[in-house]
Parts: sequence; structure tokens; C-alpha cells
Amino acid sequence: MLTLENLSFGYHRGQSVVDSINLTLPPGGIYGLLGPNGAGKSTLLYLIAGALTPRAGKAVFNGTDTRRRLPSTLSDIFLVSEEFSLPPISLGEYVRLNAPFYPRFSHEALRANLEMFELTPELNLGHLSMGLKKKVFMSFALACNTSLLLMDEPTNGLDIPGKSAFRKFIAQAMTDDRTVIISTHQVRDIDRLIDHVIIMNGSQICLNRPVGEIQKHLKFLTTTDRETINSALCALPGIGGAAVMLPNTDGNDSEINLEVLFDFAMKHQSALNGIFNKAVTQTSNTF
Amino acid sequence: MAKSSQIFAFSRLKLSIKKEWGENRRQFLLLILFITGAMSIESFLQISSAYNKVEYLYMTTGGENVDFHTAAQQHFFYERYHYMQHVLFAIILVSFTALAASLAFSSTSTKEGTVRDLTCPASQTEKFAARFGLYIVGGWATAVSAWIFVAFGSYIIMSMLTPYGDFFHPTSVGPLFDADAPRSATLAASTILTSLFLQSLFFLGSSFWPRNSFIKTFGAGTALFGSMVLIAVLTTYFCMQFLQPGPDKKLPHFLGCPETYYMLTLFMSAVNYTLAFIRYRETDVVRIR
Repeated sequence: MLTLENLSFGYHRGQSVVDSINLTLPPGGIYGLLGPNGAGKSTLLYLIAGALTPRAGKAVFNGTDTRRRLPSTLSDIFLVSEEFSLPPISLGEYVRLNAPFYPRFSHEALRANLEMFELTPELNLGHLSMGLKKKVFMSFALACNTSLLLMDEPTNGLDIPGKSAFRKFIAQAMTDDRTVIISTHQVRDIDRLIDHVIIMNGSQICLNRPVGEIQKHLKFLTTTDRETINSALCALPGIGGAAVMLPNTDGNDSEINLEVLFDFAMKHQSALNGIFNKAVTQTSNTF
Repeated sequence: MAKSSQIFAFSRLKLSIKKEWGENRRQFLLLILFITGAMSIESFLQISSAYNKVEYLYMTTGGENVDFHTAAQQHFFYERYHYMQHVLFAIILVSFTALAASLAFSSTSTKEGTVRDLTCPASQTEKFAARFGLYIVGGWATAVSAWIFVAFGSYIIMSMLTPYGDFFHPTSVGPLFDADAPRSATLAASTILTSLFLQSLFFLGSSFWPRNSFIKTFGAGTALFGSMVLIAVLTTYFCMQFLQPGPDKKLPHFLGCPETYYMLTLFMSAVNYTLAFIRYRETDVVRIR
């Protein structure tokens, strides 16, 4: 269980990148952390990993404040940051030096993850391109079998087969006790992967809902029908019709279009929250 | 309150040392090559110079009156070769240990490196201790090993190539620790303690400036030392001038005795390591301005 309690942080005095965030993430989910550049997504991940000291509040993972950087906590969290470096040694050597820190590390899982990216274990990390390094690093991260996996812009620098393999290997690695938080602004790369959407804007969280709840209240479709487009909560023009978001009145689930949802959340934050809060009120009244 | 096993465990310290060594092996090998090379070059230059003189001595006397252990040749024996080589080796040793100490936190000189370091599942105490072991204790061990290796190497080579092996016997710490040599103990202690202090200073500098730490610490240390000397000179002048009037103007005894210097360097080294630890423990991915 990950809990953020009134978490605040700023890089300069008087400026807030993360402002009084309260959040509880139960285990067993893939959380998509979305937001525009500079919204504070990476900072939030660093705070969760204990790599930054909050100005106020704390990030608590399984009952321990992560900023204390206790080995038992660190060995159960893995951060795949957007900017990372690997030492210029062989992968075998890297595994030999780093895997013992993670009690649940699986060599079989590493091999399987590498295979998914069409890589072999006989690699020299100093001779790899950035994209290949990322594949190797993510394979290692997943093989560590930590309860909390934080990934910052994981699909940046990946080729198309790499992105597809990434989705596959994250989905396969999910267990009930594992939490994965994927921060990205490339929403299309993770739209079919996540089961919870968290949108950050202006140093705060403006949406925090499970995918099921979003689908229950909102409907997403692509249409050329002018009337539907005009009546939509949000519409993004595209080839073959506009992607629109409507209130879900018929009760049928549709596949979430994160791009449209994100666009609406950025422009009409209070209206979006109103949709869900209204729904909650209506449900309460029913009972 | 964290359990003690969460703060320090030898198993994790061992893993941290292995990781630091394994991931920076190239840097360590370059350091070993650097000191061995520097001592070898210095030794070669000294030997070349001394060889000509010994050769001349043999030539002029027919080799009959050359005894390197006689009192008449002690001056030449120690002052011109071994003592000089010893002093230069000591300077290289002190410089090298300071350089090694300045690299202790170089892996955290980038944001990526800092993230890798901070998220490594070992306590800050263990990671700090691993660096202390490798860059401070290891720095000394490497420097002393290089000294012995080069000194014995020179002796063996000169014994094989020339008939003057006796003259080129390995330069040991003799001149410093020789009980008969005047003030040898003081000189030895001062050299070792100064080296330990400089190591601690550069180690502290590395925790503040992981990038180009040696140059930055050298600059800051020189400025600080200059200011301290200035303050000391002015204070001494003030004391001599006003506080102790009369013909017997003397500094307080404790200021002149070596023990004060020893205590001060040891104390300052401890302070430097403590500050470095606090600084390292509070390290974040991004430094807040």
C-alpha cells in the first residue's frame, strides 16, 4: 500500500512542483500518471522513491516513510527514471553486482524479459544504444520483483516493436501484490495497459479514478456525426472523424481515449470532477 | 526508530564495496596505473642521476674504496639518493591519496548517477563506509603497495643490470622512522597525519562537489588555508605585541609543540568525515536552491 500524505515539494523557495498531494494506492494495479511537461510527475516519482526530501508531508510505502531510505524499503521499490545511466560493464557483471540487493530477483524472469525484447544476456552495457539500454534496464527492473515499480516515461526512446513488447511484459508481470506506476505524457502508449488514471496538472492531482469508473460515467467514440460532436464534452478532430467524449448514458463500456480525457481534464478540471462527484451523489441518493 | 540491521549490516557493506569496485573498475585501475607510473618515472629519473655519480665514483677510485655504508659516503648515500627519493615518493603518496579521496563521490556527479546511488538498497551509512574503505583505506594501501613495488623493482633491475645493487637498495620509510635520525618520529607522524587530514578534506570536498572535486577542493582549501595563515600571523603579532610586554616575548608553549598539531589534524579529520557523512546522508536527486 502506498500512501501520500499531504506531500509538498518545490525546487525553489516559494515555488511548488508538488502541492499538498493526498493519495492512496492499493497494491495490485497499474497506475497511469499523466500530465503535461512540468506538471511534477517525475518529481512525484522521486518523492515516492525517497530520492527527494519533501518540503512537507511524506510518502509511506508499506508503513515506512520512503525518505528514510531504509534498505528493506529500497529493496522493495524500483525506479526506472527517464534519465538513467548504466555502468560500462557486461550485463552478467551488472546482474552479479546488483541483483543480490533484491531478495526476490529472478534470473529466469530476466531471461524471459530480455527475450521479449529480442535481446540476449550476453551484452555489454557500454556498447548499447539508449533504446537498448532502456530495454535492458526495464528487464532488470521487472526481474527484481519489487512490490512497487515506478517508471518515468518508459516508452521514450523505444521503437514500435519495443513499445508493443513493453505493454506485453508489464501486463504479464502483474501480480496482486505488485503496484506499477507509469508516468508518461505519451498517453497512447499505455492506454490499454493501465487500470487506474491519475492526472496531474499545476502541481496537484486533478483526476484519480479507476478505468472502470471512468468507463462507467464517460463514453468515448470516434465519429463524423456533427450533432454528436457538438454535444460532446470534448472533441479532438482527427483523420476519419473526431474523437469525442460523452456522458455514458446507455451504460455500455467503451475503450478509454486517454488523449481526449487528458485534454478535457486540462481544460475543464472542475467540470470533470463534477461529472464523477455528481455520479457519486446520485448513487448515494439511490441507496 | 530504525532497527540497527537497517542502518548497518556487513553483508550489505560487502555488496556495496563489490558494486562500487565492479562498476568503477576502470577508474580504480587507472588510479593504480597512475601512482605506479608516477613513482616509476620519479624512480627512473633519480636512478639515472644517481647512477652516473656512482659510476663516476667507481671509475675514479677503481671501485676499491667504494663502500656505501661508510660514514664518508653517508651524506651522498642518504641525502642525494634515498632521502630525496623518499621525499618525492612521500609527495606522490600524499597527492595520490588526496586524488583518490576526491573521487569518492564522483559517481554521484550526474543526476542519473545520484538516482542510481540513492535507490540502491543499502543504507547511506553502508554506502558511505564502502566509499571510505575503497577510497581512503584502499587509497593508502594502493599507495604503500606501489611504493614497495617500485622501490623493490628498481633495486632488482639495478642489481641485474649494474654491479651497484647495494647502492640502489629499496628506498624504505627508514629516513622517517630511523631512530638515529634527528626528529624522525616527528617528521613521520607529521607526514602521515597531514596526509590523513588532506584525504579527509578532499573526501569532504567530493561530497560537496562530486564533479571536478580535486580542483575545486584544492582551490577552496588553498583559499581557506591562506586565510587561516593570515589570521594566525595577525593573531600571533597581536599577542606578541600587546599581550606579553617585555623582553621575553614567547608564544604559549602548546602552540609550538607537535602534539598540538597532531591533535588538531586528527580532530579536523574527524570533523571533515563527519561533515561528509552528514552531507552525503542528506543528498537528494536535485539540490534545492
